[in-house]
Amino acid sequence: MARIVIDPVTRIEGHLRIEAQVEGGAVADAWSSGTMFRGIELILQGRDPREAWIWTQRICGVCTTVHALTSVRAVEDALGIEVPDNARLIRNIIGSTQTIQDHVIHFYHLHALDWVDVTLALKADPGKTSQLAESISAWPKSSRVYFKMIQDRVKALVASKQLSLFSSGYWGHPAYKLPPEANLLAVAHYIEALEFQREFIRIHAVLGGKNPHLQTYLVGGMSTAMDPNEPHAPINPERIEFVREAAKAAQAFVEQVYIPDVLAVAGFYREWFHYGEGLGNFLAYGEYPMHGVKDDKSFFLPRGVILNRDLSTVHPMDPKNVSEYVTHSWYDYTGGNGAAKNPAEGETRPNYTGPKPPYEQLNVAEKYSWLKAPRYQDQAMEVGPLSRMLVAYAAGHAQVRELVNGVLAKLNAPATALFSTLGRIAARAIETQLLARELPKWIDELDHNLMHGNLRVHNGERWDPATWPKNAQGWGFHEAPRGALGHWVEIEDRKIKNYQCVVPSTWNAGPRDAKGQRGAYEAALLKTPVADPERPVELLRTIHSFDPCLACAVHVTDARGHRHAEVLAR
Amino acid sequence: MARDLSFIGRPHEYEPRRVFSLTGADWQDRVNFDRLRKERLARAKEQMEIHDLGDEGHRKGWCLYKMGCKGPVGTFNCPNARWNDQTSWPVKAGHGCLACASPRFWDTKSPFYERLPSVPGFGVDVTAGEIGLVLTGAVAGATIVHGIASAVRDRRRGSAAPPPETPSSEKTTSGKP
Repeated sequence: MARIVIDPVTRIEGHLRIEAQVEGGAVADAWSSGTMFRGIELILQGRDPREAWIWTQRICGVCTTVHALTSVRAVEDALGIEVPDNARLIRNIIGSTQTIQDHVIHFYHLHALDWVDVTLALKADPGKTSQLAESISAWPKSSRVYFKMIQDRVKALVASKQLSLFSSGYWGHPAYKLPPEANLLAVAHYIEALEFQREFIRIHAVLGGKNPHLQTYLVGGMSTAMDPNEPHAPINPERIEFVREAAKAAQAFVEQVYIPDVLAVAGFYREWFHYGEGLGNFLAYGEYPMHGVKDDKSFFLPRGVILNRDLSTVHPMDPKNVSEYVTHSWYDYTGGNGAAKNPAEGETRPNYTGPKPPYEQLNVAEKYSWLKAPRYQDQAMEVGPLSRMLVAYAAGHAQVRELVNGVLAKLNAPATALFSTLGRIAARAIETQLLARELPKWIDELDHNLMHGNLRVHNGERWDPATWPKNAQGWGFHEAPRGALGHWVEIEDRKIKNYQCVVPSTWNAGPRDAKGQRGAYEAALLKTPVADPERPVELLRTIHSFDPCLACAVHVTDARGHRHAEVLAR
Repeated sequence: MARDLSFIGRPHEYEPRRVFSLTGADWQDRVNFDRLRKERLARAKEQMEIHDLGDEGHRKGWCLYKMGCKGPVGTFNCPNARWNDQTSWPVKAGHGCLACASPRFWDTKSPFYERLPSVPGFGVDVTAGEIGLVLTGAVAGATIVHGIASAVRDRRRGSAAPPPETPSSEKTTSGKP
């Protein structure tokens, strides 16, 4: 029996600690702890609700923009503001662009090295790698000379003894199963994906002024004025063409690089269709309104809840059923920590009772995380691309069904295989492909409006705080790359009285609740095999498959608390 | 009264705050700064009258100062460097600057949708309106804080004590009789 501690988990955003009890070569129990306090909610109190999005957006710069969008929607909901059609389209374009970029970065830069052994790429035959590449995709960068060049670059890196971003891997671990050629191919695409994501995100610079932290949201719409005849207008035909070209390039990259790579890697790791399932409960707020945000039936990706792996029923989603526990979180609720609170009445009163760092182990019987434990109808939920794709699949979304069935057929796996670590990776890739196909349509619609004189981007009827009611409450939602994101706002006397954010990684990485129910990470780690407790790459595979929302060091300690290995990642 | 035009033809370093070029020349008047100032001031004032987000002025990319833009006190090279491989920056995309690279911008630049409330570094009695006035008069590079600060300082010195060249001319006139 050994307690494995990974703190911090690297190749993620934020500060995450995983403690796992290993018995008989597999995980018997696990605890997930967020070791950083956020506190943006407290900073917001007393501020102008029109600028809440500027603050919330700074919660994180990796999946940037998502908190901004959710926040303006919450304030618009509270004040009863409808945004013009152009604002809806621009927000859809910004949101889907973020998701596509984030998913590509996640697969290649945050997750691939759990499956790809970079050092093995040195043993590959560039000629055979070229044959492999051409057998799975029509992507033009596939010559023997090209892969030889990539291999020489990796050789030079290894010879320099400064592995840089490849320095923290568990290289040589028996769980790595790809042949050398596939490793070289993946390393080449790792480098190409860096370039791709940099070019692609320029869409955000056009529509948002910059990335990260886009700056064109307004309560009531967007600030990107449109004019077909004005060279200095933020959106004009030249800018539309720029965005369209970038979207086209993304579609090519996703369909010719990302998807074939996922299929190729998955083929070597089929046993991961059986590990990492987790809760079996899935929640999606839905996203990409085709009309207004109130008309949730029109959403491109549907809203709904799936319980107990039952894909025959999609339960309706009501934000009133969302609540948060602090029983095992370093917070206090007025009225006791045993009961959950809906975020509309939520509180953020930090009370750290954990051990003084440096410590060996958290007291998991008491409070052990800075994350609250969100529940839907008192049940723990998984959120993310898998939840979205499952809800869409179960709701009969034609495009999703076609893509999911296509991938399952190629991997020769049943639909139930989706409830797994590999299922999460596949769902993320499928979603990327889906959005890469949909993105050009929203750009065309925006172009159509621009050329036909529909230039309204902002509804200013309620811009002046004098027009607001004394009290107002609202809820805003968004499907961020990592899952269902909700903001709850209460406005009193034109100021923010209370603000609560329930974010995707709180759903997934949250601790246990009052009833002792595990969060999604904690449940997914159960039964995961661990071949070598000093190098728990298997745990990282499942945790990373959720795409936890910085990278410093991996500390591994054994049951007696002795540090076995410390690997600096950057 | 003859103007001190000695700076013309001298290297730029002598007067870094002024910008000289053929645009300041006129075939009749040579350099008529008064006229230039008036015309530019009128244009800038008109542009600052942008009254609503999404109107014609907003589409043409006019000044967002009244909408709460913090560009005049920003301390970063955003407009020149621009973001994401020189693609754009917030003001080009139609939203006011937050001066988000300035020290403690969260306390000193918020509320973001109201005109600059109080501007640190200019002295307590300088209001944002005054800075705005000098700004429009000079149509200065919006992000050069030093330029604005010294412009405000010069103006205030001018009202409190006579400018440097005036005492010398007064001395010669008062010294003659």
